[in-house]
Amino acid sequence: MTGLARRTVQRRVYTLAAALLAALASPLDAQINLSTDPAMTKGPPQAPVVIVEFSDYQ
Amino acid sequence: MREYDGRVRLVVKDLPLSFHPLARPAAEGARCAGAEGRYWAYHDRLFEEQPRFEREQLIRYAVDLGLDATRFTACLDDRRYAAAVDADAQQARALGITATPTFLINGRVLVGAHPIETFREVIAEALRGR
Repeated sequence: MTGLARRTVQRRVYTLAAALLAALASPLDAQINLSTDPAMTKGPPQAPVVIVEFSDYQ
Repeated sequence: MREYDGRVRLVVKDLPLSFHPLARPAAEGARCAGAEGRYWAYHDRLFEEQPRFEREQLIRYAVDLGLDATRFTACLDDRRYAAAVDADAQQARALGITATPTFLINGRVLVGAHPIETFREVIAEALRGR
């Protein structure tokens, strides 16, 4: 492997690691797509507390 | 919700469990009611009627709320919201959530039915920014 190829691979690994760390550091609900059916939400979108409930009717 | 007056937002996601075969049509029916602006009323009715979720029953609950029977039935039979329910269930799986109800309160996970005090505590902590 040439030096240039090695550096490119290394840079990709760093980018991947940074993305992974960012994903891990963000709170769980930030990873949840809240653009859900607006009919299924209550309360203002800018509320400081967001409760996501996964529910089952049966 | 009322006691937090604008400081809390609730988002419901569907996670019909495979060992509850009628939970899925119920979830799809609730979204059909939601399309007519009656999601919460239908949602509450489903919890009252649990587990009476046969097709005819789901239609009757909609009619009781004043929804158009033909339109609701078409929505339910066409499974218009099947993909939307699938997307929620897929999201739950991606997050490692397998039980219902599971709550995420500003990212803090609470699994199962808990006394209201537990919710008040976790919400109070979230409001304090912890």
